[in-house]
Amino acid sequence: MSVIKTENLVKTYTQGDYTIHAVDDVSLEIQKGEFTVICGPSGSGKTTLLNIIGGLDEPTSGKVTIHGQEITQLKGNQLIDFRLQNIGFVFQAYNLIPVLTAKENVGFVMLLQGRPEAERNARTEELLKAVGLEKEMKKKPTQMSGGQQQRVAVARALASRPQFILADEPTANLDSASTENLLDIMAKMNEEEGITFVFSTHDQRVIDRAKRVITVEDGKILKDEHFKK
Amino acid sequence: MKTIIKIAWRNVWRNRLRSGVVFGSVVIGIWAGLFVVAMSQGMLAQQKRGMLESQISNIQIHADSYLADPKLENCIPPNELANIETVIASAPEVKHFVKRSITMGTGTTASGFSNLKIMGIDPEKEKETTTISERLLSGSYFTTFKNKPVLIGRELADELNLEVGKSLNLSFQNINGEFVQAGFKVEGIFATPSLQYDKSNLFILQSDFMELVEADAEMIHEYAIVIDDLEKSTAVSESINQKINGAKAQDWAEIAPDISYMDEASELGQNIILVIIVFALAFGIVNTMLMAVLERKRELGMLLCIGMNKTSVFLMIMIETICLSVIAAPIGLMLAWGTITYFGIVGINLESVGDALYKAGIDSMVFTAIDPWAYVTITIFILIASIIAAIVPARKALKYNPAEAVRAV
Repeated sequence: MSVIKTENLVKTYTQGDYTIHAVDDVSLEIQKGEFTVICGPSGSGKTTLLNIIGGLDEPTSGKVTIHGQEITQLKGNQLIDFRLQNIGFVFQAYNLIPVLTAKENVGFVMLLQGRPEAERNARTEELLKAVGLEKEMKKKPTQMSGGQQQRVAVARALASRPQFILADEPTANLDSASTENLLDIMAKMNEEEGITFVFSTHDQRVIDRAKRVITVEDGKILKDEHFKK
Repeated sequence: MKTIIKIAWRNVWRNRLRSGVVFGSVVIGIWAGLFVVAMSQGMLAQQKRGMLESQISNIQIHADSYLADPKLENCIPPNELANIETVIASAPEVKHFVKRSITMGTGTTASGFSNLKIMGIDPEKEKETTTISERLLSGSYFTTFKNKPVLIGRELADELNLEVGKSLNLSFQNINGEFVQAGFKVEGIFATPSLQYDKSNLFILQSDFMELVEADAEMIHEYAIVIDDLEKSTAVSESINQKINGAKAQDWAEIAPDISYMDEASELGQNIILVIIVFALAFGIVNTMLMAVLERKRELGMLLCIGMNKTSVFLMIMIETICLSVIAAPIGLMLAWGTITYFGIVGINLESVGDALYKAGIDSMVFTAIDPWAYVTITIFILIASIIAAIVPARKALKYNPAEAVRAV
């Protein structure tokens, strides 16, 4: 069973007399355990596609089904709750809550899910250990490097036990060492725990690690390549 | 909910300078609002007390005919005086009372003349009932001159160029309708909270009054009564009225309705001041929180992305906004309470504008006073204003598109 399935996805914007096809009839399936990169030049529509898959944007037409649930049918708080339970997000600018510590940031999503405190604490510690930040638990985002913050963001994305992780340009603000370190962690989680990752990026270092690369241009899938790693 | 409160609370302290400015403005706003109200209430209370203590007392009794036409012959029927005094003396609420003989006349000096209300009094009884003896700016209280002493107000002294020891000619009609004239010596100059009163009223000895009007029997035009509780004035005057004939007792509010209107106007004015201050504070809070919401667009977008529902985001911003004023309000209230209590005891010396205050009927030493309900009122106003002020930024936060907000620079 596919984790993500899109059928004839279309997203158009009107700008004056022009109609822009940001996503143009995209149908794809992503299976559990895939390490997929959606790549393409700026303006190719990869972020729009990622936003629609993540339930952050509505398609003009077409369907998105996540783990058997058609999310294009969901509205408002239903959609927010679906994201909470099923999708983990990693953003380009880390986007941690600055007034909370690393541990509180990771535990926050589970708190929204209503998980008991003991479970939250155990999983938070486990995840921060997995991303190599067991000693930084009490630090606030401003006391950590960009790489460390992005690792906290990955731990936060995993905390809710989502169906998959959507990562939008996760390495864009990181130096080489931090990028390698982050990709190692994600690849390890993908290999050992079968966690599904979907990236939107044009960073070659990420593309090189991917098992599947979907190239998008002018809103259409140009190439869909699978690699054995 | 606990975590939402925790995040909201920490957000309050995120930009200490900005939150500090809001706290400061709420503290100063509350303090200033209450202090201005306390100053105004203090002045009003002094003005009211001064007018009651020096002029009106709490209850007055006049002949029915005098109320219709205040002429010399319209005195209280002499055969009713004993009954009236018995009735007054037997009322347990009455502390002191005094009787006065009154006529209208003219005061003349080389500098001019003035129409006057001439009151013949018993100095000792008057001293117990009114504060004229304590309000002397110069001279003495019927102790220096044996021959026809007179106490005049400051405004009259200025108008007729009089000083202590100088002569004032008084002329008025006697009981036979003939004009009589007599020279009086200014023994003292008083100042009450009313400029008009000080310009047109003077006190002479009742014995001199009787002699000049050539009355066969005692002529009493007015009883002024002080009771133990101002609030009982109406009840006591009504009770007296049931037991006397040919005369009527009136409470202070009936004699000087402008004083009771002042109370109502002051309460309205006080609420208007508080509403204006709270309104201004609310605008400041809205502005600050809108800036905060704008600055945190990416963070709010992220919260919506990862699954924080709109109600929680709304509540978080509401709590954060309300926190700003709820923390500052008690500090402002305490500061106001402290300063109002302090200046209520030691007073504020406004000697530099004493003349202007005198003309407005207020002493130059102002003692702050406030109705305790003003603290409750402003607290309720602040709470309501905070909630209303919180809605604007909270709604703004909800309008963010998470996909766009999360990428905001």
